[in-house]
Amino acid sequence: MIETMGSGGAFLDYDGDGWQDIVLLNNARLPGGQVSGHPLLALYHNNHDGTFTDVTRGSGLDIEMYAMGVAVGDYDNDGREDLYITCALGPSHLFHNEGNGHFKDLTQQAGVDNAGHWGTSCAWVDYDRDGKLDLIVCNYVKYPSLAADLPCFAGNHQRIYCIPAAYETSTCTLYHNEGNGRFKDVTTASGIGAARGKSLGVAIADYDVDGWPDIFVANDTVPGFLFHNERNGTFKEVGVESGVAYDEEGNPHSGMGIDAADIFNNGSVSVAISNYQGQQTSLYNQIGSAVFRDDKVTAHLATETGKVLGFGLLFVDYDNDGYKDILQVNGHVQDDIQKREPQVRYAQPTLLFHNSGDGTFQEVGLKSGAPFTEPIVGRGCAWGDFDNDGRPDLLITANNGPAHLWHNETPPGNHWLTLQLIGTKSCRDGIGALVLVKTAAGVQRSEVRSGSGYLSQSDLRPHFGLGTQTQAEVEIHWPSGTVDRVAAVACDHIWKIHEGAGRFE
Amino acid sequence: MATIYLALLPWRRHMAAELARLNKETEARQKEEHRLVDLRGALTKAQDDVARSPGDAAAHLRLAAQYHSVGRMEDAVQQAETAAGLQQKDTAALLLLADIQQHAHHYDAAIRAYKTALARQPDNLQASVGLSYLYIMFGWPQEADGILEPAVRANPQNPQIKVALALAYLQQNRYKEGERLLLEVRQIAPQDAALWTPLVHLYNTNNRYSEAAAVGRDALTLLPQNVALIDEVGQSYYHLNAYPEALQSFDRALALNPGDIGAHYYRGLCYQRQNQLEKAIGELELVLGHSPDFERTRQILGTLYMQSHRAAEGQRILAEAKSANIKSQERTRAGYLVANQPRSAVAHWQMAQIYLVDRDVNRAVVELVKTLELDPNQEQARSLLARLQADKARTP
Repeated sequence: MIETMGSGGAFLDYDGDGWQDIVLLNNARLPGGQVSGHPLLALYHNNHDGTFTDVTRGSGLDIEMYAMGVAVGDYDNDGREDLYITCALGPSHLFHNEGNGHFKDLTQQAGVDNAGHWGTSCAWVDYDRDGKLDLIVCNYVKYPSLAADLPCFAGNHQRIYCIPAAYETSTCTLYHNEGNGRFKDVTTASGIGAARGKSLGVAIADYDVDGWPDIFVANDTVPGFLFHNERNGTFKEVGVESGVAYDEEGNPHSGMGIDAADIFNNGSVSVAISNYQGQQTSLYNQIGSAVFRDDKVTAHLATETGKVLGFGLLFVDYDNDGYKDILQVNGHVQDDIQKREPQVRYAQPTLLFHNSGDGTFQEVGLKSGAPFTEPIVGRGCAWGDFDNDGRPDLLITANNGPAHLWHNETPPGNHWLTLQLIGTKSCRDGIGALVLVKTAAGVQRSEVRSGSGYLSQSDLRPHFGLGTQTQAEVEIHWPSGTVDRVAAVACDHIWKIHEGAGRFE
Repeated sequence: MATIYLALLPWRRHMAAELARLNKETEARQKEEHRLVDLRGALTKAQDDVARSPGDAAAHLRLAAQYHSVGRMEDAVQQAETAAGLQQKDTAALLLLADIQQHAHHYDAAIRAYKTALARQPDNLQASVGLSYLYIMFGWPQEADGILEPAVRANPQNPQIKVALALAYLQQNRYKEGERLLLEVRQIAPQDAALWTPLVHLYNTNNRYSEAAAVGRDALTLLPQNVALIDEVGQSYYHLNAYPEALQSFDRALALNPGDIGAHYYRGLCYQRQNQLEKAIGELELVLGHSPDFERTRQILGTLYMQSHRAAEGQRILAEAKSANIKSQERTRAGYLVANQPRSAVAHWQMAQIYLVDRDVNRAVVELVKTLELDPNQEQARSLLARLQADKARTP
């Protein structure tokens, strides 16, 4: 089963040069129940000219592993972005960025090996706002070894992949950053471990705007989670009560990709969760302080997403009109699905839903042709502006095939703003900070966060499309409680700000 | 005078309606009395025949059928077994026995009877179809394939076997093969829509809602009173976001069968989609009142309460849904493994335990027998089966 789930990729600036580099995760096929080849990570350095150089060898990342998910974050606040990689068939890995393009595997010293679990998506989150990044790791199903893989059969004794329902549930893992490079497993103490699921996607969002990050988790075939941060080191699972655990017909999602953000610029959080073939992507809009409603049909997401098997999903304002759009990458899990369901394909097109700003979306990917229409067995996805031209580009991973890097060639015209936050009291890379961008067109809200999508990590720099507006007032609420306000910020620029400085560089 | 008449009008209407209801009830009661008299007469005659000719298998068979029709299952089984013993080469008694045992929920005995019939006559279609439907009911579609595929090859023009095989395929998500068979059935028996209406379900399951609605409309011209079909077509409309048409279908189904809970459920979903929360809540409360075990209803209703600012009711019902969900996950897992690991004794053993938790001893027995067939050394299953059978023997 593990060979069907794909692996992720990340945008990161590992050398701090202001240009987004890329790390790709790999796993491998399992003919005869054995791992084929030697799956390694791949690190690509951004050459600042639209090309990349493979710098994996000697980087310390060239370690064989069956990799799944990735999160980028500076856990020791040394100013360099570190990597956490989840795995199947073995422990997870924490790579400390040593500088000079070298990473050191400090998993054992840090105590974050997530042993005995099939780790999937993961995210750095400072859940107790102590200025040090903690780590939430999604775990899928109980899968101790390849030998324990369940054999399922279709007619005529044909071997097929079992569906997740065949496997037992697991729990997410939460690690608290103790400082000094050490983490403590607080899964049980925090209440996270009380919820059993089959977790594949994680998104962090402070949906009740109390300043404490909450955690949305997409589960596969069992109800999704919403871990509400109780502000005392514990979480309460409120997925069912809040309405995000099931779709509108009371079915749990086959949840893979997930994202959560204020996409309509109305101060409320929306949550999107991709779903299995025919089951449609859900879009939960917040209609009360802790109540969400699945508006997939009225938002015009249901029809197109019902035709595909969705994996990676994220919110990104690709055209800089000021509203976050939805990207969804797709691909079936059964490579021979067409034999049984003739109208369904293994490789599938990618969907891009343009946010009309009125609660509805219009699918524009298929209308725009290649690369969206070119079928791929899509899995992970991340956005990142790798050429710093103010238009978010896309990184997409595919199962048993090469990754895709799609340069955003949307005609320029709309204005934009990208921010790089540097924490001093708060964690160094600003994860958890809430950024408000105010223009005559309204107020946009974004949190700096890792996670979201599926198994992948997007650009940590919050990006805002400004449409026709040429300047904005920016307000940053840091996890430490510090608030920076900067008026008349000019558009079409990447600005850097240190916590408490009150001005951009 | 006119005022008095108008004031009395509702009362007169009520009386007329009441009178009509009483007349209808009397008529139904009389009919039932006649039917019972007829049954008693036929039963007495069948008993006399057996007393006169105790070695006549046909007489025992007739008596078994009579006992069956008056609900005396133990007696029916005894007579059918006697008939089967007398007709060593024939299968009629075994088929009746299987039918009786199935109606009495003695599924293991029904399976044994069908298997004995097939051992006597390997090409007996009634036994093949009957046994296959039992396997499908138990979620063992691959067992059904094994019987039906050769039967279809031997009887390519028999629509009933094709339908049975198509249903086995659908249970395994083998939609392509299932669709092909059902389309063939439609060609063979275009006027017998009851046979090919599973096509509507197949298309709905495959999200081919327009095709489902089209086939459903065709079938409804032949089966205008078929409530299940009307519901299925209504679901197609619901998924096509054609809510007025969907509601029309469900209203029609309810007019034919006011107890059609499925129609109420989908009416609730239609109202939910149209953001008519109170109406949706009303429908789903009704569904939950009739079918408290229908977990999804509880989930949706709880969510609607929360959206309607009825948090206390919502939280109560969602807490119930949460605990039911854990049980449901275990059931789903066990069911999936039984269907997709047909040779796994462990899967059948787990399924038996799920049935026992549900207090469904008859189904548990079937799974235990299967467990032992696959792993004769499974001592836990053996002793549990022995205990259940002993309990059953003690209970009249």
